[in-house]
Amino acid sequence: MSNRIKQTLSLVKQELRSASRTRYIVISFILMPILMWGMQGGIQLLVGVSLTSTQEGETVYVVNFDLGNITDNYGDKFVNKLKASTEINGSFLEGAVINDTLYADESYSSLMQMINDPDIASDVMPLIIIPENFTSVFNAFNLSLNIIPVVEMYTLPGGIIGSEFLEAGVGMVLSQPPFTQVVIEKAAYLSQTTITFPGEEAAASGFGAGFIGFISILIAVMAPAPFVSTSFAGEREKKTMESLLALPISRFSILFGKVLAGMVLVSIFAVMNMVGLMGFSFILGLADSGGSEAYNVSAMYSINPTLNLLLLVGITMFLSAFVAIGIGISIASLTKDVRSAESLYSMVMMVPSLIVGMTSLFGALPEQSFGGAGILLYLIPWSHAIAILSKGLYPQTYASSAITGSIATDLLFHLGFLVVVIFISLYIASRVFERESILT
Amino acid sequence: MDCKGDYILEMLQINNLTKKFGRKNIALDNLSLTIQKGEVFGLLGPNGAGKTTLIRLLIGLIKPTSGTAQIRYNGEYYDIHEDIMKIRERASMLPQEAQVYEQLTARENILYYGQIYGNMTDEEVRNRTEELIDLIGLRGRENDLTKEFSGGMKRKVLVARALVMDPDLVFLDEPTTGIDILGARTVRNIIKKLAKDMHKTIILTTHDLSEVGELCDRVGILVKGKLAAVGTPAELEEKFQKAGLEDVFIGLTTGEGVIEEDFLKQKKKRSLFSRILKRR
Repeated sequence: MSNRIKQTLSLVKQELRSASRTRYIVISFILMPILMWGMQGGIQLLVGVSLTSTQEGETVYVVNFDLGNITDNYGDKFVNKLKASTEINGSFLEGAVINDTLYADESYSSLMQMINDPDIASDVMPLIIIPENFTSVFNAFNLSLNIIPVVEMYTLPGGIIGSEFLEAGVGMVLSQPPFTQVVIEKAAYLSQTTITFPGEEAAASGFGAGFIGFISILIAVMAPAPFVSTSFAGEREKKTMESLLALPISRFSILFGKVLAGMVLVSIFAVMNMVGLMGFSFILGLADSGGSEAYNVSAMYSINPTLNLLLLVGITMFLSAFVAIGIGISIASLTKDVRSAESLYSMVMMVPSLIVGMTSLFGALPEQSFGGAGILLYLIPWSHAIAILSKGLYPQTYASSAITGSIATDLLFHLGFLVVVIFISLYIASRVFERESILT
Repeated sequence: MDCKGDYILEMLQINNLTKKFGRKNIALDNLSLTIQKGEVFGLLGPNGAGKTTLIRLLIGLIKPTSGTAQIRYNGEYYDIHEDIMKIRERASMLPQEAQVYEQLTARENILYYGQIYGNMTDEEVRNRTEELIDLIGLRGRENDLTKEFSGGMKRKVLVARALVMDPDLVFLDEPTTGIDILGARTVRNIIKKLAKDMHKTIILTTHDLSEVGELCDRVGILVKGKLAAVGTPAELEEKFQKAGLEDVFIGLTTGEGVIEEDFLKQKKKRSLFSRILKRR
């Protein structure tokens, strides 16, 4: 083995040994991902359970205008599923009464008149209207051509069954076969909501994946702080840097060894996050009241931990953390003690990662939320990590908003951007580390 | 034993070495010096005189503004500009404020440096580590984390770490500063052993004049980046007509004395003047 490789490996071993004996590095890289995901799962579980109570006997009116076709009427199937959901323990509509007969003979325009009449609006809402082309549009569903079936919902502001509740309840129904899974989009005002079917991809593309993206990026960006601060600013503070630099090993090799150690820690971190994510899903699954069609009260926030999801989360967290390490090394090399390094690191990293995380939380990519200006958000490296996660998991959902025209090239673009940022940040870090003033 | 492997240190030669920080701060000003093999050379000077800067230049931690230094091994010269890694393979440095890695044990601290040096096999590093643990008197504590050690014990580990690859040339920047009397005594004994028994070439900076008297063959006094005087303690006392090295040092640093070269010129002038006076 060449001398240089041997020296670098010795350095890596020493860094990892020191890290394993440093309490807060162990906490941030190994324990924090599991605790964070577990805690989130517990919170979502509690939130979900607290939302499951409906007023016993509360009525939801349904009017089905669906003409259907020769073989199917999805409107009828939808109504039957709604009725079935009222019998399920833990369902959002548990105990409610689905009345699909009272207004069955009314026309669409008369229903609109009733909804807008303040004297009788409360008699007709909450109301679900299934349009006459529901089945035909459902069969012809094509996201890229914007052929999307729609169900309209009307609720009273401040009503006992509020719009979010009804959305959630209807969403549960529509997440089951044969409707596959849906994303709920709110219209302009609270009394009317629209359910759209973006395709066969998971409901979690609206809430679950966005939530995961938010938490993943936040953890990935903040977790390397203790390692980077200790490994660079910490060596200066503890006066071990000068002796190390006086050894017959180049500064570049020292930097490379520390980065390599960081990569090992980041890999462990990514794996711990995958474990935490499975725990998150398991905890949410505890709300399942059993049965093959049982509703999961937290299903809107849950995810299905498939291998694809776990791998994508692992890769995006690895790349995000690696970018954070690259930038963090420059920051830590400019400071003289661990505390200053961590403070500066938080200041520099927190704002952009929160911006990116919030975009993800609302279930959108920058180009979806902000149009052309959203491209500017892609200057923040972690936007690309979110994009890889979202577009990799739900290519159909995001196909229409692909920057390069196709999801495959988009993924390559985002991946390439992250890799370039990693190299640039490490190059800058090496220049900062080479300065003479690092000794003083 | 002088060295390991093919390299035998013969001489360290410093030629007009200058270091400026920024435009105005001249840390070292045109310094020239020769240190012979096996010599223990003491560097004295007030704070900010340039002692640490000189050592950092010689080990390649910082680059000189001008001038150079060379180390002669086996008749060949190795320059600090071009061959610094080769120089570092045979030289070690113990910085003034150096610290151990507190998350590592004493043995791990020494082993780590031995592995980084890279010119020994793993077995040789392990054997050498055990030798040094006995030399510094830490047998029985070698597997304890160094964060539990006293200052003196940590300094011993640092000395052992600096010696793990059996260097020919050792730079010690205030090796006994900040440790207790017993620890300082131990370190001085190790330095004496290195010098007398192992014939290492040592460049030592210190504020402790008794240490200089005890350990050093020659002394250089730095004042504001210039080499004010070089010689054995006895030679300096005679040159500057002082009773002790302390007086020489104070005289040079406070301005009561002069730089040696200027002093010689002054001496020459005075002689001429006094001759003229005598003639009259």
